[in-house]
Amino acid sequence: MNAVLGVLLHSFMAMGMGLLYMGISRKLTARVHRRYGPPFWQSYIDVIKCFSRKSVSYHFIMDLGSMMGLAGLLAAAMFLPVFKYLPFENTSPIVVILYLMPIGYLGMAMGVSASGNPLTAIGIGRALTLMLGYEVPFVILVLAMIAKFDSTSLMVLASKQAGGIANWNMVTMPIGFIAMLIALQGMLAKKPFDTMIAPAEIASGPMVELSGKFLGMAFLQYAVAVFVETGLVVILFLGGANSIVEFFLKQLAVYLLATAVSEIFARYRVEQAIKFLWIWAGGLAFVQLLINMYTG
Amino acid sequence: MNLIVITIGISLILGLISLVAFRKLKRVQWILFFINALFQVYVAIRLFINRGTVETLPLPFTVLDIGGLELVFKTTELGLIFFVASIVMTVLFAIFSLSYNDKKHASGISPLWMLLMAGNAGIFFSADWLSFLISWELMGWTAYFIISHGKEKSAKAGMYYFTLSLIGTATLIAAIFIGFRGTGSLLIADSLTYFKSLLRTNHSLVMTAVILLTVTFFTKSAVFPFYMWPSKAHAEAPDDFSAFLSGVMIKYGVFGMIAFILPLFTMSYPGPTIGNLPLFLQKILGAKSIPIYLMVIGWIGAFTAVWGSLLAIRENDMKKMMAHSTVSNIGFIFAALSINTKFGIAAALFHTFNHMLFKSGIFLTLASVKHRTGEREMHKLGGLAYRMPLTFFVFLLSIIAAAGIPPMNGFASKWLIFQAMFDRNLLLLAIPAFFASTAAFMYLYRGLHTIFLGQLSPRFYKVKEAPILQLVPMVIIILLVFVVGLFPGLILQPINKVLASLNIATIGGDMSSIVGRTTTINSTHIGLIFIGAFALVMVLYIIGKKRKLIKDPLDRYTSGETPKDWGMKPEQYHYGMHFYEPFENITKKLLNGFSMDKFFMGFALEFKRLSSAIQRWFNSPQLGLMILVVLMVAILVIGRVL
Repeated sequence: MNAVLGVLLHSFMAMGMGLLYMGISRKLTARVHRRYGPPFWQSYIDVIKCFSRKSVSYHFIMDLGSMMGLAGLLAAAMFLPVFKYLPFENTSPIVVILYLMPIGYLGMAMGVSASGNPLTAIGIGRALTLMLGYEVPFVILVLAMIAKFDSTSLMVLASKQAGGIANWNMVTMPIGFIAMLIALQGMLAKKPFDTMIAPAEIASGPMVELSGKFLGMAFLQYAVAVFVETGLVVILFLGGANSIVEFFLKQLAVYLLATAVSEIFARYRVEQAIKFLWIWAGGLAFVQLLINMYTG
Repeated sequence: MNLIVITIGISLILGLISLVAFRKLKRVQWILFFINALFQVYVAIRLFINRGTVETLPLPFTVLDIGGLELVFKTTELGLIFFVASIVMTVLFAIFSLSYNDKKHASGISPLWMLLMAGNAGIFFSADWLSFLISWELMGWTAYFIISHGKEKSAKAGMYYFTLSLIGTATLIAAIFIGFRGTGSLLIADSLTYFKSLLRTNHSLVMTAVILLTVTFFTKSAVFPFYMWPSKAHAEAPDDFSAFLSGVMIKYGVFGMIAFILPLFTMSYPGPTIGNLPLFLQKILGAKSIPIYLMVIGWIGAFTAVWGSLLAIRENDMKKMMAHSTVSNIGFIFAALSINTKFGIAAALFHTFNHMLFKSGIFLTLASVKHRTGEREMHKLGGLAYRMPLTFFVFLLSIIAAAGIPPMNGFASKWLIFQAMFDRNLLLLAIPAFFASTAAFMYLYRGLHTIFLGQLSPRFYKVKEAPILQLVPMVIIILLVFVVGLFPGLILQPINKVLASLNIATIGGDMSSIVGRTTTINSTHIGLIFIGAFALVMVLYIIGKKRKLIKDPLDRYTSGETPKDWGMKPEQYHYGMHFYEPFENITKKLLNGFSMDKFFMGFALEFKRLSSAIQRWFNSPQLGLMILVVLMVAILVIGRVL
């Protein structure tokens, strides 16, 4: 019973906090553009509005895919320790999170493919190609963590960085941290790595046929993805947190940094993006891995 | 009762009878095949109960001056688990084939397949080289004839396979003779003890034998540099046999490696290890006690995994794409078994059986699609999920398993492979493995979209769901995939028994959890969490306002244009060709520039030129005769001098 309650709470927290970060970042984007911008609770309004509007579906596979998409990411969020809270007893293994998130993307991909619009398939094709781009550096960083701490449990990795900013991996592995920030830009589909959405080119790609509650679920999926991915950065590099508020603030800082960076870049083409991610993020991560293996 | 001998004999006899007597009655042949498979299941159960059966079959003639020659069959834990898995799959394929081989698609391969099943049992139970060699050859050439099945294009592919197979057999015989020369006995166990005792004194001889055997298993399992035959043979073989090729046959190499080669490289291996390398390499390459030879095999495996997925990504033929994916998975398995620890071997075995399940699922769905549509090229298909929903779901769940996503079975074994790598500090090796695993999403999604989703071509408006007899085995396979995914212990506990019989420590964990090196996971929990999250999302979905269902395939967002106005048809509106064009552009240079296929083809071309040159000598009889005479004289002179 406790576990079920925990899972529910964790899910709503992941969705709620993710939407909050998105709202605040929209405000930031607007200020960079010298606009006034929407209020920070705009994302909540959007989601509620989406769920209360009419929607169009093309096949029940589309319904199923949309549900699978959000469910996969929520399941991944269950293994992310927030400060020290986990919804149920587990070892918070990072490899499981790495493999649970794709079920979300696959579900999403399946749902939008079933709509039969070729633009969605183009967008998903680009997204998966890009995924190969950012997963490689991210995985190398995970390996660097294993080389140093001999653990893949997020709880353990966070506890190894306890005792002040000097112990944070951000400080002890600066090269890896830069690689992580580049990879994160790809993971969050922020510029310069937002070819899969590319509004002016392929009309928002995967989202082109989504309406009403399907769009709402896509919003929620992105919110959970933001929550999980920034959470991973916080735990892997920013030393976890000493309280739940600190954890949220760190997540927000990471997300705002990514948003700010995204506003000053133009979009890469897919092959450029992959090459950039492999050469720069992958190269830096690889250097960090070699250093960790040699010293560890 | 000599059960093993009887089952091999029955397969042979039934195969020959149905080959001769029921040539015209294809249906009867397939029913016989099914009965034979069922009988093998019975044998498997009996052997499972009476572990450690030894059976001998004395031969009435002498070879190589050995009197009292006999074929020895023995059930080992390793052979038994492989046999059971292969037989279970074969029964399912037999059910599938009953329906698949209707009037239009009948291929007449079942008698040969029955002979192949005799070879299959022989390979897993042989205790002496003679019966192993006979079974291996029986498997090799029956497969060649099945792949060819009377079609010109298939015959070419079959020839490619058979040539590689012959190389493998040649090296196998050479290795057998090295062992036989030293021991004078044909028993496999004797040879292995002999090799082990020679490791310190005559290391190079043992390594020669080991390399020869490795080539045998590499050719059969399509590891680099022999990775090209599946894409030809699996694609051109009869569709129901492709599943067997990819599910069962390609695993013989894995069995051979674990049974014959890995026992030589235990902790007390005296040859060169990573510890003998410079310090910097030691730090980054892995644990010190790993033999260099196994490290090389591991890297070849990882390379195969990456190469297979890169080839699969740019492939447009669906069966070829999945054949490349099989190569990639085999690379994974070889990378894992090269680690040669409890995690390594367990992971390799676990992934072998998981791959057997999900890849059979994929190939059977593809066979059904081809059965109904007759198409193999993906861009010509599309939207079949709307007509064949059950087939689609089997395919979907299989590719989720193939991508290694929980809660399906592929995840647990991939996770275990990575744990094996972390355990021995093989972090660099894990990079290509992760790469191949992520690249798998790309080609698997492509299969999902281009075959089953997107726009349904009007040509296929009347396509029906696959026949019930084809659906039954598919659904059974997918249930197995799901159950093993939730309870990995179902397969890991038998694997633990194998490990114990090989004198290796066992893997910790129970039905639902696995104890790894860096963490412990509980697959049941992961599955339940996903199901729970799905339920929550479903509630959200139901809360939202009701959706409207639109059936018109061309009523889609097109930036204000109306596709019908300029005569757009649904099949033109399907995105399928050059799906990953940007990525193909990146890898094109690499894949076109470096191809073992080209190398072999160049070799074949030179050989053809040589043989046609020799042929030309004999066009004028005098020249040919003269050369022969000169050659003979030269040989006689040299023989005299020596």
